[in-house]
Amino acid sequence: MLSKNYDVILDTLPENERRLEILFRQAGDGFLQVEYGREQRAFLLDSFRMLTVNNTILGKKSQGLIETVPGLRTNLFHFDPEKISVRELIKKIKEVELSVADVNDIELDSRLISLPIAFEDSETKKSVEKYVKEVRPGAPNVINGYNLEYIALCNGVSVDEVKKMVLGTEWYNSGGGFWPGGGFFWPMDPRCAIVVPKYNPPRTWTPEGTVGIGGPCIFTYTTPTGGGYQLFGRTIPVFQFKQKHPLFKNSPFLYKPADRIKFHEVSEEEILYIYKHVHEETDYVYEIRDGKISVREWLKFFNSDEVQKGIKELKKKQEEGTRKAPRL
Amino acid sequence: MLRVINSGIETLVEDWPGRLGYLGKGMATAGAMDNVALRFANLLVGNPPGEAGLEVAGGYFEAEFGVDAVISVTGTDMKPAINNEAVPMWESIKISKGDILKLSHFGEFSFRAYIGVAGGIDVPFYLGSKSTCLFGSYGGFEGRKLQRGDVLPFGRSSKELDSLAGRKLKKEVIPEYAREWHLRAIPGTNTSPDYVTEEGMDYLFTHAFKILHTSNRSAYRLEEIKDVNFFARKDGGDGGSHPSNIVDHAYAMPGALNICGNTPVLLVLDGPTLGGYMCALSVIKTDLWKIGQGIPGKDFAKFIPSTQEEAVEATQKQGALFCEESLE
Amino acid sequence: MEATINAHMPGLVARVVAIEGEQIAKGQTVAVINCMKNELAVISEYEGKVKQVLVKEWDEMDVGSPMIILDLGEVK
Repeated sequence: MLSKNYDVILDTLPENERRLEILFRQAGDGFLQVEYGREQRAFLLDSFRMLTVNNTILGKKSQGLIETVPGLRTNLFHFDPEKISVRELIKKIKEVELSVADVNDIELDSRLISLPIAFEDSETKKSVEKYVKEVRPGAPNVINGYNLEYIALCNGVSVDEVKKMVLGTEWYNSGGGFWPGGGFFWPMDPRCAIVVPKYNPPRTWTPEGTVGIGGPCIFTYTTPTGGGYQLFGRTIPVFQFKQKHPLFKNSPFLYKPADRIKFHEVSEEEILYIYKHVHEETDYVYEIRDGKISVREWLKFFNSDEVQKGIKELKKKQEEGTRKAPRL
Repeated sequence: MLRVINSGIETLVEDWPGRLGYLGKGMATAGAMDNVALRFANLLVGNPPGEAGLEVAGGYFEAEFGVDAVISVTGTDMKPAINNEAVPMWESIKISKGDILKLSHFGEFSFRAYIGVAGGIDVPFYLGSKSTCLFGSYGGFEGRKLQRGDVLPFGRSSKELDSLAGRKLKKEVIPEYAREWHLRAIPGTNTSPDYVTEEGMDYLFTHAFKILHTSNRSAYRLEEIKDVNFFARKDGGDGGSHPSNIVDHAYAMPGALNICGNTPVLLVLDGPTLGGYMCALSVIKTDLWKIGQGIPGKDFAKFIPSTQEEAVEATQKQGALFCEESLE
Repeated sequence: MEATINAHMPGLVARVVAIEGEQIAKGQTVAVINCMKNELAVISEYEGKVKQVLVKEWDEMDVGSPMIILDLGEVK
């Protein structure tokens, strides 16, 4: 047996006032994980920095780098070790990390995508119905045939307030993964940070375009599939396997890391009309605007008394809600 | 072309190395579970090693050929027969229009057989690969396992069919199959001292884990970790309440060993690309084929400590096998 | 003389077809295993009377798990 070596941190960049400690973790032959700090925290600031560095590195087109897979506080580099060694790769990443200005100065490219949503539409309602009938009769997260009241209960707010929170903030994509074309969306306004437990056991079917939440992240289902997120309603297609619509011609995926989505409420008829015009007529025009996230401005907003007060109030309601809401 | 008479337990169109570069879009590479057997099958029939062939898991595949062809059968010994007469494995075989190829079930050792066809299986490329991702229902033949009546066209053979018949693999290059599969692995991303105890890591690298019968192309589930103080943490911080939880991170896929609660799960070709559980080690690329031959509910997997350097050397050595010199 | 019919595939017992005391012919289906979502018949290689059924629906089968004991009668 080889000598024991479980130390997988191949290199680090020390913490300073401009950034957290950066760890380079071994992840097999062909992968390297870059981690921001040692604490398991969920804070958008880490993602803003990571995606800025990520964009610079991808822009350089390094020999042997296959792709990167950003999470919220870690980025996985996939490379061909026959073309670039892990040491060389670390050196390249370090150079970019060191060149990135103070995290406060970051202006991250971020598109803003407008998405219509129909709350509690009949299609997603069918999937909840199916769940209660076939998977878990009497499921406590299904109240009056849907999940909205349970989401409200968990967060100590009303159904109306839940809808306002979904509509009231831009949701930031920390990166894709898990399911083809998906993204994990976090609220830019922490006062809209709804948190819910996932279905237990999961659903066997969820329609395309379903908008749901599991833990702190919103997910828009790209294709019909099983799933465990609590449901709000339905939005329009964000993925197209067959690549018929011009938006999907070059790639079947809509979302990119750092995209923001903003929901606006529409009727179910309008959603169905758009489906037809994306998948069949292929003439629907998506509303996508280029933009930037200014970290300085976001931090100013985040740290403002009003927002901090709002976070505390919401947390208090959520603690109470968690106590009252039935466990799944 | 061939027409499927009996689809068997799970027969899929797979190539190698699958769909590279879409992990961040939630798409695993897919591809052959045992790429060594597929690559040899292709070599025998004069194809590039990564060409698409058929992966037969478990057994019972039966098909009628609609054209003259040259094929090869590699992997587990499913007692291949043509028109009910036994044919050898690890050799190329001339097939005439109307012949019926029939496989029984998996042999004493190993679980998957591969059928190579001169010219390859002609299914459309989807995002750069012909492989089927069963988990996501895309790629390969209509994104699914084969069914009775399916007709699969072949590509054009690189050489005259007659010149390809009777090619034989040298005995010494035919892979050895085992009851207990030894997989060389590199520790990471989450090991001792911060996530797992040293005792826990020792356990992972010494125990022979039974492969559970619930294993499939997404995940090879191994028997529970028990009688060892495994976790170095009490909980997963913002990542969740169990010490195996972590804030969602990308998985070094395929080959990462996920720790889900107390169950080690080896993420294989169709597996999830991102999730909220820690990963303790990664099987090196060169050895990952072995798990694809592990018989669920029968075989064992044991992890042998390895290093980046050893892994790169092993990849090169293995890659050199798929050339004419390996033929008799 | 007795013989045991073992699982030939890993998976879950989908159905037990044979019942205790029943006379089984060679080639007859005695149970069904669900392997990777496929239903596969477990076929008796012997002729005999079912002495004992060792499994029930949804039991987990490894390759070689004993399922049914047959009484083959007197050896001729």
